Amino acid sequence: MKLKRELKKLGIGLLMVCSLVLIAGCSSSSKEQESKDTKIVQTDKGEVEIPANPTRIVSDYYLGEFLAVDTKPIIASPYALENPFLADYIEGIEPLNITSAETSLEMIAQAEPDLIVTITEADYDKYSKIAPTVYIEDGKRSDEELFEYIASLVNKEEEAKQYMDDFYAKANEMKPAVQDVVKDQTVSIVEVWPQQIYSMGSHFARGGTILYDLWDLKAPEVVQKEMVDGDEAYKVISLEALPEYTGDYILYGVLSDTEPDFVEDSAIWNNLPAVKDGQVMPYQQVAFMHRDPISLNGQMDELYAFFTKNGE
Amino acid sequence: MSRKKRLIVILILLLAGLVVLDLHSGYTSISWQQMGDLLTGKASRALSYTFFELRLPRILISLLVGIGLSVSGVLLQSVTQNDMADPGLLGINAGSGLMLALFFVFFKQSTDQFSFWLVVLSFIGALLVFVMEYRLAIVYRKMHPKRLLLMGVAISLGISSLTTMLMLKMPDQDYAFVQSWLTGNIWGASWENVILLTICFILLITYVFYRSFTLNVFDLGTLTATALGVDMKKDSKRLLLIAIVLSSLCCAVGGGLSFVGLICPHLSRKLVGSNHRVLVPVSVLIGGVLLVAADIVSRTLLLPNEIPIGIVATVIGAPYFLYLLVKEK
Amino acid sequence: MKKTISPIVFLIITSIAVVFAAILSVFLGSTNISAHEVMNALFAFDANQHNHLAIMELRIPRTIGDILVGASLACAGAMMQGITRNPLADCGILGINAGASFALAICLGIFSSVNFGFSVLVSFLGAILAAFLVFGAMFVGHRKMDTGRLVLAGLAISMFFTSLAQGISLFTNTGQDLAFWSAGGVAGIRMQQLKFASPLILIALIWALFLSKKVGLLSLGEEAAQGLGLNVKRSMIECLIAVLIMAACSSALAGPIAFVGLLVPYVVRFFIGTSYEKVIPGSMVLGAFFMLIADICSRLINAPSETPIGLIFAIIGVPFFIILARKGGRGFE
Repeated sequence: MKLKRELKKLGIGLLMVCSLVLIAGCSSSSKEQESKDTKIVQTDKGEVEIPANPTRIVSDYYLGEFLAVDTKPIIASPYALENPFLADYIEGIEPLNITSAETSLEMIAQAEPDLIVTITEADYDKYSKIAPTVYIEDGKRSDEELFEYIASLVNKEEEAKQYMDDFYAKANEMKPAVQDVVKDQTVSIVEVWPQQIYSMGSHFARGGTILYDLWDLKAPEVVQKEMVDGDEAYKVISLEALPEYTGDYILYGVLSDTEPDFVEDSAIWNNLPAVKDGQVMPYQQVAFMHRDPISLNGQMDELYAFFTKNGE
Repeated sequence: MSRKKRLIVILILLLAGLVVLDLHSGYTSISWQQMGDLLTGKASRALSYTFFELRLPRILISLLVGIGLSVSGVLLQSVTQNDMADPGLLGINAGSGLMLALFFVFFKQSTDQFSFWLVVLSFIGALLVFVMEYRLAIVYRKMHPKRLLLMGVAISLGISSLTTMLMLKMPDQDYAFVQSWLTGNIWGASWENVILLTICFILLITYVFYRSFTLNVFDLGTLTATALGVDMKKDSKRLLLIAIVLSSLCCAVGGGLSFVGLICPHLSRKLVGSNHRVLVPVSVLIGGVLLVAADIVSRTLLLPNEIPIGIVATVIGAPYFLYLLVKEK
Repeated sequence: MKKTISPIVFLIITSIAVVFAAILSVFLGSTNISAHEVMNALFAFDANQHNHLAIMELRIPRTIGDILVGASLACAGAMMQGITRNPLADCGILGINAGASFALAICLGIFSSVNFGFSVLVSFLGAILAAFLVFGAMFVGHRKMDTGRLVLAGLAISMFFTSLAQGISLFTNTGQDLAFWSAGGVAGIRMQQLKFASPLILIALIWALFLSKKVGLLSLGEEAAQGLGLNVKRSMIECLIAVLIMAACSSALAGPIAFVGLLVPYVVRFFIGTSYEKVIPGSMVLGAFFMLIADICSRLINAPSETPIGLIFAIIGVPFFIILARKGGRGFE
């Protein structure tokens, strides 16, 4: 029975260590109360109390929306930071670490933020232990509503509204020229992923809202029905189906580090009317996948340049 | 002090040392002084968060998962009289994994949140797979241990591929969720899970320990067992069930690692022989040591990046397993 | 004693089935192309018609690819089962596919794209490495090939290489390309690739036919085979090389597809008995058939997108395997 005694000692020892740690843990959790101004906001996870004027913001996805109203988060997602449209505004922002949640969280904790904005519901609990956290569900709001909501968190509703007004004005200015070039032709968006082809309409960034909603251009029949008038965000299609899902103009993007040969080398692609007529606009996937105001502005400029130049 | 006792003490010290090392290492190095501050409540908020909310639960979970898988392995090996048994190889983890993948596809929840259903589903998945294998392995009323393993292998591969396909079919345009998946959010390091596992393990493993005699008898074979009055059927069912509960708990928390349940019992047996009275506690310690060590490697080898611990476990475990295969007999 | 069908009858029926399935494969697909159009494409090809292009550029190579890949995977599986005397042997389980994927992962990590010929070579090297480790482990330990341990060794190696491949793809950011390879797919098969791969596969298949007698002898056990005058070591190596060529080409063409090598020989044995001289050719033909059918399903199930073919095999394979195994006996040790 000697072993039993040994085990008992082991058990007691572990219990002591554990209780010590737990006590220490509990004692340290009662920190000084926040004595700053706060306000209550409605989030997708109910009401949350956040600082009235957040200055140290961490965002794990939404970036352009902040930058458009002159607010610079201290830490942001590498996916957003790679966006070329945002390149001029991001100096000094630290990227999160994609391979290690631990490292990211520790980095965030060290930075002592006063507001965390997240797109990831699953990470909400972890974040909220560091700082007040606002969860914004992806795809629930339109681009404009999203922008206004984020702006409201940092008290910049006015600036946001102004920005959107300018944006719409610009779109309307450009519209006649674009429509003049495109006339009755159809415009489609195609994005190449590894061994996959995505077709999308107006609900999945890539300038879709600009083309179909703001400039009133038409998409190929199937796309129009399902992804512009309908609610589908995107569809994975086979190479065979490509002719059906592409129109007279093609916006063509390739995911970075992906081999598009299986599309570009195929006779089907090269036989498409748009390809033969040179009406294909290649876009940078990392730029066009975002729908924040700054990106949208940039996309609109690129699209305008493409259409008007093409029309000549 | 007898050799065995000395060994146990060494293992305990080793474990304690590794735990401390693990606490210290990582993106933010925590020095001795800082640890002292943490215990007396004088540390900064950031440091407290890192220590109490991130590191400590994670290390404890690693420890517990190591223990759980190790003991599960001991049970499986004894009861099926097959020293190559392991919850991963027997497809039990694959069964849990499939259920968990289904769970995540339908409820995009973090494993941090204590979810009763998560644990139950994991267990059901594991149990289903095992029962299926077991019955398949019985041909003409006899159960060949080797056959069980072969079934396990085939089924586990099949289910793993199903699970991978399922995960791939998820719209991975859903960046939010993917990012969370990629950042290893699956590792359920939360205090709730720690408490859950600790309680369950204390209960189950103590029971296992008290059944050491029975387990020893299993090793001697069916005939001897019956002669000694051990009801093999009933006991084997009970013990197998415990093995499955242990491993499915580990899976639910994110640690369906292969090879741990294989190597730890082997190592333990090499050190202290097959007497379960000693084997079980030693396996507990070795499981803990191994997983905490793996956690250190996982978090520090490629700082600031992290190697998913499953990869570490397999990359270390598989060659060792191969070595065992070659050496044995 | 269950009666078996004559192998000739079996071969004839399955061959007809293959032809039938191949025709279906050309006529059916993820988009609707009328039969009339298909005939036009074949006999009055007009390069400006995108439907015609779809047929010639996509469906035909793919159909050919299905036949070749299906035949090789099934044949390789049958041979492995014979050599290792293990009814569960299959390139996937023995880690050979994992080795090929691992090699490809390293390759993609260093050069972001490779031409097809190179990828076959790399897959082949990876497959050799895996096979070397698995069989080497067996030969080092003891003379006899313990079937249980072989499978376990294969499994360990498979998991090892898969883990490494995952790790590499995680850090060199080829994550997405590789993830899709693990789902397998014949959609990317083009004439250009077939020009390289088909001679190789055909040679391997023909060689396998010649080797089938040796496989049969090996399946009786080492001593028995030796007693019957067979040079065991040499035969094993010959068979392994054939298997590896087939596995490497199939992997490079279509990614790692599991279960074909496991399922098809089972079914074949069920119908025509266990003699390898019959099972190997039978597997080739039936394998082609299965692959064609699975491919057609993968195109139709979720049109116009395609379900990965590996998934279809897994969905059919797992329950099928279970049912077969329960019926027990035949083909089991």
